Parts: sequence; C-alpha cells; structure tokens
Amino acid sequence: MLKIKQQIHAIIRDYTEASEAEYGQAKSFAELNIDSLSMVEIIFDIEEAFDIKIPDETELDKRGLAINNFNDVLTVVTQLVEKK
Amino acid sequence: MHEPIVVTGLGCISAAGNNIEAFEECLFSSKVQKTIAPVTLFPLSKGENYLAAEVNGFNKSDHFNKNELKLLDRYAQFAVVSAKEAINNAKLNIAEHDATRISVIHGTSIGGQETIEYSYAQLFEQGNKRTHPFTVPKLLPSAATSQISIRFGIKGPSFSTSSACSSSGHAIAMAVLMLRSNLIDVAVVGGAEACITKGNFIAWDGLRVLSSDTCRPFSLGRSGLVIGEGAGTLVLEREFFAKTRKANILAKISGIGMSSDAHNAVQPLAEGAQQAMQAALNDAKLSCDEIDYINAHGSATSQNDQLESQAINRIFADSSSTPWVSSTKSSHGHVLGAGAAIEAIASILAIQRQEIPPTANFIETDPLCAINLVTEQGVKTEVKKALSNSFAFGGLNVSLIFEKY
Repeated sequence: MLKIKQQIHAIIRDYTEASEAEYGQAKSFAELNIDSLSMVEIIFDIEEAFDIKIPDETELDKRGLAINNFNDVLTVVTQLVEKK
Repeated sequence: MHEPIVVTGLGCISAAGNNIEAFEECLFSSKVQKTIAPVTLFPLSKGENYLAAEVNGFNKSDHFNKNELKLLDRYAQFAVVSAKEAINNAKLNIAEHDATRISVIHGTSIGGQETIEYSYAQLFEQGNKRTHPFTVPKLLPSAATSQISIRFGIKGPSFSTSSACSSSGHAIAMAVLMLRSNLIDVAVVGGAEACITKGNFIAWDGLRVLSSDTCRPFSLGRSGLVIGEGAGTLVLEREFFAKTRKANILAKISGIGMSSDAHNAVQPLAEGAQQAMQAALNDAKLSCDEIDYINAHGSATSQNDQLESQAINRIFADSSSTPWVSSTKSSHGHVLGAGAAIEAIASILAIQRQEIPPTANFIETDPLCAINLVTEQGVKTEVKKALSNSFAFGGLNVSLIFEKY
C-alpha cells in the first residue's frame, strides 16, 4: 500500500505544484489545480506504471468506487493491483 | 459589388526563414541559398538520398511550455508560430473586438504526420500496447485551427481545409467568401505542414516525383519536387473594418478562382489550371493584360511545369503583355498544404517591394515551358497585381489574385 501510494505521488507530482501532504486532503483533483485533461494523462500514467486498466467511471460507480480525488484513486489502484 | 477584402498581417516559418523578415531576405536574394539539403529530421538508411527544405534553428521550447507541447504536433507548432506573427503584424488586439466575428481557417494536407508515425512505431515496432492519450487531438488535421483559436481567443466559425497542395489556398478562398458575405470581420487564414518523416518520404518516393538534386522549377534538368515544411498565415479583413481600426493595409485580395480537373489522382490537367486562373481573373474583374506577376505552382515535376506553362500561355494568349513568372518553391520547397499561404505571402511581398522574386537553381530554358520566367536574380518592375497558383494532386486547383493597395 505504501509503495503504491509513493508511486502515485511520484506520478501526480508532475501535474501539480501542491505539496504531497495536500494530496490526501484535497476533496477533488481540481483543488490541486489538476484539470480534466491532466487527469486523462495521470490515469494513463498510472495504468502504465501498474500495468492495470482502470474502468470507466460508470463501471467504477457500479462497484461503489470513484476517481475524484487522490484517496479514491489510491483505493481503486490498490484493489486492482491486489487482484492481479 | 462586394466590399473589398484586404490583407493586414503576415506570418511565416519555412526553410527560407523563420519569420517574414528572414523569409523576404532569402526569397529576394540573388545569392545561392542553402535551404534544400539532405534530410536531417529522420535517419537515412543506406541508399536513401532524400532531400528536404527543413525549417532551421527552430527550438519549440522557445515558443511553447511542456504542457502545451503535449498537444502540439510539429505542424501545429508551426501554425501557431506563424499565426502569432501575423496577428502581431496586423496589430490586431482580439480582446478589443467581437471575437465571434473572427475566424481561423487553416489548411493542411496531412496534419500530424509526425505524431502518427511516432505512435505507429510505438505500437508496431516497439511492442507498446497503446499510445499516449493525446495522440488523437494532436494528429487531427484540424488541430492547428483549434490551437490557434484557443491560444488567441478566436470564437467565430473556424475549420480546417484539406485539398493536398491547395489546402491553404482553399482556406484563403473560403475566408474571402465569408468576409464578403459579412459573416465575419476578420479571418486568420493559412496553412501548415510538417511531414518530413520517414514513412511519408518512403510513400512519396513511390510516386517517383522526388528530386534527386535540388528544386529547379521550369528548368531543363529538373528532377522533381523537394518537400518542405513550415507554415504561412495571413490576416484578412473587410476593408471597412480594417480602416475603422486604422490597420496598416498591406494588399487587397481581389480574386479567388477554384476548379477541379475531374481527371486523375496524380496527373494534372492544363484545362483545370486554366479554369482556376480564369475564374480568379473573372472574380477580380480583371483582364489578363493587368496581371504583372504569376507566382506559379511550379513544383518542378516534369508534368506540372509543362502543363502549368501551357495553361498560362492559353490564358495570356491574347494579352498585350506577358506577365513575369517565378516559382519560389525553389527557395522554400514544396510545403504542400502550407504552400498556397506561403506563396500568397511571397506574392504580397513582390507587390510591396515592386520586385519579382527569382526562381532559384535554374539551369537552362525548357522549350516546353515557354513562359517569361524570372531566374537567378529578382526583377525590379512595377507589380500592381499578382496571381498565385496552387494545383494539388487529385486536380484540385486554386488561383488567388492580390493587388497593390
């Protein structure tokens, strides 16, 4: 889990000037000044880094998951990596 | 009678110069220009001797930040750079005007070829399972138009035109019609191309039209065309709008002519070229006697130059004076979708300087190209009206007429 968190931190660092301490506190990526275009890239980078496929938001919603903020993404990625 | 349409801004980047000033200096110079050289943008394999007119000294990081570059193919970078120069040249502060009455119409033959080939290499050579998520918005032939619109806040009807080597000629023609109809006040028009890529050159080579030495339009000993890269952008305005905002008017665009050969995918037809030139003359309400200069399509292929000469001679058969002709492709190469815009700029510079730019690399007159060709050095002469030709694969032709203002 810690390793996953660190890896996601490293990816997000390229897209925001916010400090890592703020990642988990922000309710949305917009609060970290990350726009929707950058989110497309972040998701892509995460999928490449972990060799996973993050489902679209409708599918995530069905599973009670989301990718609206850092903690959401951490949960989704952790589940997908564990299932591998 | 429609309102006159005027040109108020020019911007250009090409092998002949990375801005208008450098382009003008190169184009009208009598010195031998080293704008055409072996390709450096991709590694040549053994036996490949491809030549190109590459843009030199262009550092993309000087113009765009890291995030902007993620969405800009090289062709769109050139488009934005030339548009910025043209808008600055026109002293057009878009925020001071109704941005919904300003358009971007930018043409390209191919679009983001570099992005296409890079992505294919990732997928089919390097074994990647997928490409970067911005691949699609980056490679679109409309990407340059969108990026110019986004960067400068232009909100009027905007689109790209694609008709191979006439693409930016059609962009200019469409803009003129939209301005004449009072749909818009200003149009940022032109074209961009950046396809000096391995795959593209191998494909072009198959057509057996690439030159083996240099670009020698209308000359005996010519061996074909030389592909170039770059962009040209013009700011066009309704005359009343330009005068009201006290713009510096560089020229008038008085005639647009378009035609389709309906003949062959690659072989041109003199009748189609003739039809486009005549349509432009009719549109400008000019007789052929009044044209001082023709910036020819002059691609330096055997067929084009002969048939274009035939078409010119038919149009001017009854003329009391023979217009000067030159092909500036000998300096900036064949910039495909950007060619018409770059050559429109060359025609306007000829009017401004009262000087015909030379056709570089000329060796000897081809008797099958019996035209009044300017070679070696420019000719200082009265240039009130200039006609610029662009003829594309598939027989899609555009002729534009610019006049001294």
